Amino acid sequence: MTEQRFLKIRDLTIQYTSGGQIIKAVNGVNLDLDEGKTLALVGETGAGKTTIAKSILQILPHPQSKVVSGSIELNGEDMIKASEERLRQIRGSEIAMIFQDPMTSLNPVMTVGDQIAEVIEHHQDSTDKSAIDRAREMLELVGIPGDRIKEYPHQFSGGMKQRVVIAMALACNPKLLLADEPTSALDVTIQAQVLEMIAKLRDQFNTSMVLITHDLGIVAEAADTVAIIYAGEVLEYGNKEQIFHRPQHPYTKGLFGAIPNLYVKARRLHNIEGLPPDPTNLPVGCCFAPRCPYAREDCKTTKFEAHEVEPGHLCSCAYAEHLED
Amino acid sequence: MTVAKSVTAPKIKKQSQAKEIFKRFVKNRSAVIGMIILAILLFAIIIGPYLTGYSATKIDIRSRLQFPSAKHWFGTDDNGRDVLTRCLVGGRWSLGCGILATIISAGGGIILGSLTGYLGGKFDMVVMRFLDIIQSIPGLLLTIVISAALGTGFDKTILALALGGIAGYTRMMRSSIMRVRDEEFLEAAEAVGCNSVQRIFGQALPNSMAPMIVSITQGVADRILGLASLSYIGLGIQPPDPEWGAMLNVGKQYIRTYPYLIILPGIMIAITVLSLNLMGDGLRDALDPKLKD
Repeated sequence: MTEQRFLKIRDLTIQYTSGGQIIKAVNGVNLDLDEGKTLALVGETGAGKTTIAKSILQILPHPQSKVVSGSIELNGEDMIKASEERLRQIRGSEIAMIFQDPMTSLNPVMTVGDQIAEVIEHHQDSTDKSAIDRAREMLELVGIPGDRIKEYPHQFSGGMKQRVVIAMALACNPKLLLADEPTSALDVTIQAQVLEMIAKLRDQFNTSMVLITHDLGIVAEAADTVAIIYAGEVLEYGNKEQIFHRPQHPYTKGLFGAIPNLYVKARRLHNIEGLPPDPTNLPVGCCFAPRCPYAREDCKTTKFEAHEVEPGHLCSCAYAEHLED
Repeated sequence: MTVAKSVTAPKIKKQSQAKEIFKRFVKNRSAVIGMIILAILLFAIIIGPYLTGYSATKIDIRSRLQFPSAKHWFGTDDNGRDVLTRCLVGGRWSLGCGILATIISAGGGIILGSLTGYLGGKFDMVVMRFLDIIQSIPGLLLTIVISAALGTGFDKTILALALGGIAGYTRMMRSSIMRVRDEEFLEAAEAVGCNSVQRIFGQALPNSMAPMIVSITQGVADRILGLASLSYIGLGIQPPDPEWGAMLNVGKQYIRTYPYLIILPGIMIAITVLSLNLMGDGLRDALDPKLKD
């Protein structure tokens, strides 16, 4: 791995405080992303994917959340140490986020045009008129007729709302796009359209992207590198081919086992027994050990550092190479 | 050969949001009626007193307590003053006080309520406990105390009427801001670089104004009646200046013999309140884009 990366997350640890309990949402995460590439964060609900994305933008809820340690460097600039003033410049112009639910992430009392124009006015010294013109351009870019600019979010369908959100996110040509399950609120056909559009625009603007999803099909389609997140940790990290063709970690293998296969006749899908651990009370050893069919005694007591199983392919399971024993 | 028509995108109607809201407001018939009534009332209050030919304050004992006639359309009161003229001049005080006091109360309530509702935490705690103290004093008593402390006069009376109302408006605004506080679009606004002032007043506030608008129009009526109570105990607007509430109080003594003395100012108050409420409802509907068409 080279030193200067576009996005470099090191040892990121984030905790929430709720009702006197400490929730360990993210625990020592390391991630890298190069310019123009897509990194997929894959994991179950509550694994900490969204928390990682929000921490990149520094929009975690105050005062419940706390970045305990670590650094998030974007082109060498640490976001955690950046001033609020600087962050406001970065948000929306250099890093933009597509939120999970387009139904609620648009302001219901503002026209979509105004909402897109607002982003532009925040970050570029532009007049109202040129911002509106640009907003119309963006709408047309995402396939919505420009004359709908004066309409309100409730007059759009779900898929169109998500397009508006994407138009907002891309309005200032961000260098990094954080897509937090951009398609999970949409139905399958619209999903495909939206993903295709995101991919097209990403290539067009040479934007890097962090794609959060629990859909491995989307990952196969869109990602370059993949990080498997579980209980706030990266269990396995590698490029798409490595993860899909040579998964090493038992959890990753379990995830692939849970995908229906057209060629194998099976009455029931394979599932991973048990539930993700309670983030207020994480296991001492490997966080996956309680559910791992291959777990050994020392897995439950010792935490193993991630190691390279092949160049660029990291796995946190110490026994990954000897699983079949 | 056919001429290929150039397909131009339909022109976006150059229409400001205010215009659009006005268009929707105009479509609402009862709101328009309310607005027309209020306009007539305002016009009458401003121009009327010069046309009636009587003074609102000059006492003429010889013509006291006359029933409505061609000479005095609304009759005369116990000091021989023309009731119509007094109603119109009184409207300046009543409506002026009512509207201004409500604007101050609601303005204070909107700002405080937005901040406490959005920020929460210690700030919310301190402000709300302070407002609890204020609200534990009966409203009218508080108004009387403030009015007695500040003294009489138009501006001081407005302040006395306004201060007590801030607590109620703050509470209403706060609860309605809290409903939208955790909405994702506010998070999205943060993610595009809005600072907290822009998030509170630009994004959250417009989404929580609906209950306030109705309550504000109702508030004008409450303030007019509050002013009447103040006048009754000698605070507020001082005689001989007329004021609707004070006129009602005088008329009360003659309710059996000269009922017109109480009916006419009463009707003025009723019409004002009605027209404001109609307008308030219409305004709320016009401001809510979801009710469009």
